[in-house]
Formats: sequence, C-alpha cells, structure tokens
Amino acid sequence: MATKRVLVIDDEDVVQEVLQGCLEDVGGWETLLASSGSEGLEIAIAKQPDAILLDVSMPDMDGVETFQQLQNHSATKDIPVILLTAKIQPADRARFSQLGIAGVIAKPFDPMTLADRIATSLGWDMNDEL
Amino acid sequence: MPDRLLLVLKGSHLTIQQVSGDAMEIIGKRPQLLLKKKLKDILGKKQSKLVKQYLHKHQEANHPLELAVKYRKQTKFVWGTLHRLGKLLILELVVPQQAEVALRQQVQRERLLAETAQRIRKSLDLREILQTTVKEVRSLLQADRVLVYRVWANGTGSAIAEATSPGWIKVLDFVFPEEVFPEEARHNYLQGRIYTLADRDRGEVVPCLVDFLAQIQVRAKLVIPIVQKDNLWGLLIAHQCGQPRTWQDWEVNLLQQLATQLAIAIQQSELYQQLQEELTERQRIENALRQSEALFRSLSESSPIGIFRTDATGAWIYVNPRCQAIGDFTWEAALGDGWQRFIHSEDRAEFSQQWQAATADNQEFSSEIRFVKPDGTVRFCRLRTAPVSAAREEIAGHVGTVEDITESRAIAQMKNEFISIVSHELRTPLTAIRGSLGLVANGVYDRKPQRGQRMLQIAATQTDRLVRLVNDILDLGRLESGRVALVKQPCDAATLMLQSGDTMRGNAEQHGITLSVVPLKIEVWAAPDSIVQVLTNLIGNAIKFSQPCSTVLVTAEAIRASAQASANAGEPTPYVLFQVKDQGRGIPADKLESVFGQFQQVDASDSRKKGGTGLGLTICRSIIQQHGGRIWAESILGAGSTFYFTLPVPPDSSLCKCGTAEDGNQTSAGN
Repeated sequence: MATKRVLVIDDEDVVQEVLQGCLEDVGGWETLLASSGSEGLEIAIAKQPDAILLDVSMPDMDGVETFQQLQNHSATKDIPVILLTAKIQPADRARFSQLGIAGVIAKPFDPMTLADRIATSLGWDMNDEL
Repeated sequence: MPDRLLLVLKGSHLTIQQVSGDAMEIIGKRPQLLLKKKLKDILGKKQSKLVKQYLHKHQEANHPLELAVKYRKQTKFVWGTLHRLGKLLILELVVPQQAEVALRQQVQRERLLAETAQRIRKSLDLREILQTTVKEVRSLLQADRVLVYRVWANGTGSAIAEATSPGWIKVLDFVFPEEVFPEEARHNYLQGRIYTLADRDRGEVVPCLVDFLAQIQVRAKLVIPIVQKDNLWGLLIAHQCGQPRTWQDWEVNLLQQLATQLAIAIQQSELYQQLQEELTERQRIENALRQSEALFRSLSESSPIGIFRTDATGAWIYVNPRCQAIGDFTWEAALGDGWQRFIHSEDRAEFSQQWQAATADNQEFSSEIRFVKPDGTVRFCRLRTAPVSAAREEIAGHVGTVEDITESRAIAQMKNEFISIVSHELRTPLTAIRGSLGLVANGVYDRKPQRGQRMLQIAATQTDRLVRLVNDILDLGRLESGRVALVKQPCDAATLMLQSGDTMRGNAEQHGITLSVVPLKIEVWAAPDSIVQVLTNLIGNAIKFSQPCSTVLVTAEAIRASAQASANAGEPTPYVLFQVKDQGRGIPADKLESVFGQFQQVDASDSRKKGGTGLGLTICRSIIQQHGGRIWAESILGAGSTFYFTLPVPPDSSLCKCGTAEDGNQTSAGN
C-alpha cells in the first residue's frame, strides 16, 4: 500500500512544523503544508491528499468554512477531513459531527499518538504503513 | 301660723336696720338688742358667708335663699329665707313645726346626697372620685375622718383616700394586716351588712382591737361596704376620733347610698380606665403598624430591584417604582395582566403559558424575559416569584422581583468570549510546546539532531510567547479589576520618554529602524512605570509594523486648553499630549478604534508573525484611562500611524497657573 499523504492546514507556522514532525517522523506519512484555508483548498485540489488535518480557528476563512468549500468541490469532496481545534465544548463536537467531519482532535495533543488517532478515525491500518 | 321674725339688712356688713316679729320667741333676743347688729353676729360666720356668696351670685335676680339656722345656744332649728327688695335684704326667720322640720331635713339630706353623688360621679378619674367622696362625706357627716379602704385579694387592705380633720393622725397608705379584717367580716360585708361602733371604750370590741383603734385614734366608726357585683371592692369608713358617736339612721342610709354611687363611679372609672388602656394600646398598635408600613413601603419604593405583588390568580396588584422604570410602564398599565404587553413578542406566548402554570401550581417561579420599552430598546430581565401564604395555608398571591440583567448579561457574554479567546490563545503555544517537546522526549529525533534542535527552539519561543500572554492577561486583569491602584506622582515626561526609548533602542536597531525621541521637560501626574509600559508598547508596535530604514518618532507637547475646549475634548485642563509616530503600513479607518479591544489585531496573523499577544493596546488604554487621560490612533494607510495619549499635569503645575491660551491650543517646543 502506498504511503499516506496528509495535508495540514494551520495558520500557525510552529504548529505546522510540529504536526509535520508527528505525521512524518512518527506516522511515517508524507505531509503537505498550507497556512490558510484558500491555500489548503488549492493544494487539496492539485495534490489530492489521502486526508486533511484542518485547524478550526484561522483568520479570513476558518476551518468550518474551508471544510464546506472542500465539500462543495468535486475534486475534494471525498477527501476525509479531521479537525484540529482548541474548542473542545461538547456542543462543538456535536456540530462538527453533523457536518460530516471524519474526526476531531483537540489541541494540545500527544505527538506520539496523533498519527494513531488519525489512522483509527479513518480506518487505516498502521501496520501496513510501517 | 308659726312664729315669724323679719330682719331688714343693709350695707356690705349686712347690718340689721329693722326688726319685726317675735324675736324673743324665735331667737331668744329682744328686738332692741338686734338692731345695728351685723348678720354674722346673729347667724354665725358660716351662715353669714353663705348669705354673702348668695348676694354676690344673684346681684340682680330675685331668688330667695333658704337657710337652716341653728341659732347659737338654741336647740331648735330656725328656717331662714332671704329675699331681695330693691337695695334692701329681708331675712325671714321662722320656727317650723316638727313634721315640717323632719321633712325639710329629709329634703336637705336628699339634696346634699344628690349634690355629693353628682360631684362623685362627675369625674372618671378614680383618684379624684375617691378624694371627692371622702371630702364630701366628712363634710356631710361632720366626722373627724373619712376613709376609702381598699380590700386587696390577699386579705390585707389599705386606706387609699382620706379626709381627716386637723389634729388627727392620717392613716393613708397604712396597710392593715389580715387579722384586722377576718374572713367573717369580709363575708358579712359582701352580703351588704354595715358595721357601726358608737364607742370603742364601751366594751363592744375585743381588747386587742381596742388597742389598735386607740392607736389610730378611732372612738366611733361607721363602716359601709363598697360592693361591685359579687366582689367586695372596699369600704367607706367614717371615724369619730375625739368622742363617742351614735350613728343616726339617716347617716347610715346616706352613707349607704353614697357607697352605692361610689361603687358605680368606681366601676365607670375602671371601665373608662380599661377603655383608655385599650385606646392607648390601639394607638400604640396603630403607630407600630404605621411605622411598619412606612418601613416596608420605603423598602419597596426605594428598592434597586423591581418588586411586584399579585393576587391569588396571578394578576398584578402592586408594582414598585423600580419595576415601572425597568419596563418603562406606569402603575396603571402594569396592573392585572397589563405588564405582559411589554414583554418581547417572541417571548410572550411561551412566558404567558409558564406564568399561568406557575401561578396555578403556587410554585416558586424563575424566568428570563425581555421587556421592550416604548422607544424600542430591549431590557433583559430576570423575573422571580414566590407564593405568599395567607391563613389556613391558602395562597394569597405571589411576590416577585424583576432584575434588569442587560448589563450583567453583556458583561458575562464578553467574559465568556474573552475566556474563549484566551483559551484559544493559550492552547496554540501549548500545542506547539507539548508537540515539540513530546517528539524530542520520546527520542524521535535522536538520530536527527538538527530537527531535534529546531523542536527545542520552537518550545523555547512558544514558552516566551506563553509567558508574555499570561503576563498581559494578569496585567489587564489587575488593571480592570482595580486591585492594583496606580500610585500617581509628579514625574518628568522627558525622563519617561528617554527611559522608554533606551529600552526599545536595541529592538529598533534589530529591525533597522531609527528611533527618535524628542523629550519634553515638563512634569506630568502619573504612575511612572505604567507610563513607560505604555510608551514601550506603542514604540514596540511602531517598530513591528514599520519597514526597515524608516523612523519611529516619539514627541510630547504641553497643551493649555481653555475650559471650553477642555470640556469639549474631555481632557483635564491643562495636559500633556504624547505622540508615537511610525511610517508603517497604517491602520484601516474601521479598525482605528477596535485595535484597542482585546485580541483585536488589524491582521489576525499578527500575533503569530509579530509576536504580539493582542492585549498590549487594551492594557495601554486601561492605564491611560486610569490616569484620567485619553488614547487614540490616527492613520493613513500605507503612510503610517500615530498613536496619541494624554496625561494630566500635577495640580500645582505652573501650567495650571498660566490661565487659558489665547487660541486655546498652544504647543511648546521640545528640547
């Protein structure tokens, strides 16, 4: 099975870097990085990642709006999206679930289990990857 | 015909001018001896005085005066009638027949009794009644002492009113022991029996009592019970102290009748007293009620919370002024269900249903509703009620409060938003720190030291960011809660400006920016550290948002504003205006005000890219406001921004003494 490719969309450069470390150096996947929702949309259309890790709180276009644009685009509507958020209210979780989001991961997260949690959410077999 | 004697009197001394009739028979004197005598010599002083009083009282009228005269040294009574005839007075003296004497005596006694009874009954004051009684009875009987003796429940008794002739001891308030008044005597008196003693020393009483009577100087006595219903209230007692006395039947009867009158008077007095006490008590209760009413009315009328009262059906029957002010409705408009018309139309139906259910169940009720004022403004209110129980556990209605929570609700909302933002702002650096350190700690980069080093660098910079953020949050919290009062003092503006410039100079050099400080030598009334904090923050922002090779300029000027200009501008008179000017990218006009709000950067990515926390300008505004100053920004997009703030000068500053400037806005040159 080919190596998974995950697109990270987060406006915080340092968080991008850490996520990249978690996914590449722990998960063994490839990562694509975007600093805004619009940039992420372009990369997703062009590169067709296996999954998207999407930050909720971003200026201009936030995570939810970005997700809706991904859903509205034929090239990206089937790509599973996992939200990264500092908002961990139960109401938020229910709202995200209704939107059709594959999973929600709260910040801060454990860098050693992040890849596992994503794989579990998406039904990926990690043994195949390693 | 009885014998008759006519005396013609004249002058103020009532001198006898003429005598006609049988003087010898009537008063045992020859007529010649009566001529030129004064009336008082014939009748005695007492009768003469009575005549004079009569004459004084009836100067014009022609009322005859009847006198009972017992002429000196004569045993028989003589009846006298005084007539006025012009300036003359004619005294007609007659020796009546025996039957007539008895009849006249009877009439006189009855008249005396009636007069005495009237005097006794005239008052409702017990002390006065008793005192009148003893005085009148003593006069009537010519007794040496008359007492009203009160019989107490424990068998003892005491004299509570007394009239005694001069020379005899007084026994008022003397408490007689129980032995003096045995049960048998009490029983007899209760049956209405009387007791007479003609002579103490004639063996009628036991020796021990003789001693006691002698001790209180009683030789003869007459005792009449005063009975009220079935209760022996007391005794009416006449004493003859100096000599024995055989009490006449008429005297006994007279005293009995007076005792009856006295009993009635006492009862009336006691009833009156009782009525007075009841009235006093009622007045006291009414006063207490009035005070209580005033107290509770003031509580309600002056309450800062709206208060209302409903009847058992839930209809409003009272609404206090605060409640009327909250809903902006009048008393009349609010009564009944009227107040519900002022509830927001979106809330009304649901609320009305809840309200009906709550009032029907007699339960406590709490709800948040919106009142819409006539001008369209909406007030968020918390309404609470509790049932009011009446007698027999019936519900008399409900008492309720209405609290305007519009402001507190807005504050709570702002607080929640702040917490939400802070939560996000804290979690971002924490995520980076937790992630980078987690990777390094778990040996992920043991074989990639450069990546490991980068992760540690991320952890360090994000820790700094976190520290700055926490410090700013704490600073803002302290400033806005007022927990730390800024200690203001006269301080030199130039020193503050130079100190801030020195602090920020290294930063400016790193960014390739020229920092130019033009200090102004003038005193301001400020907390120096906090002003340095404001200046360094503004200079830091200016550096952050400036291009290399540009200049950040810090200046100040003294403003002597006129009172009018000051009132319009809102600044104290006079003040110092500070400016921090940059040549950076500028601020859009719609964000010139909002940049002073919490986490309100022009560009949301500024906190990440420029390292700000989003609280710096909020802290600056809070500090300046606490100095009584003002802070604002002006900007031209692409050309730069200028941040201004004002500070007052010390109260004794020379600027204060200079008066108003001619144009109301004068600038001093910096040095």
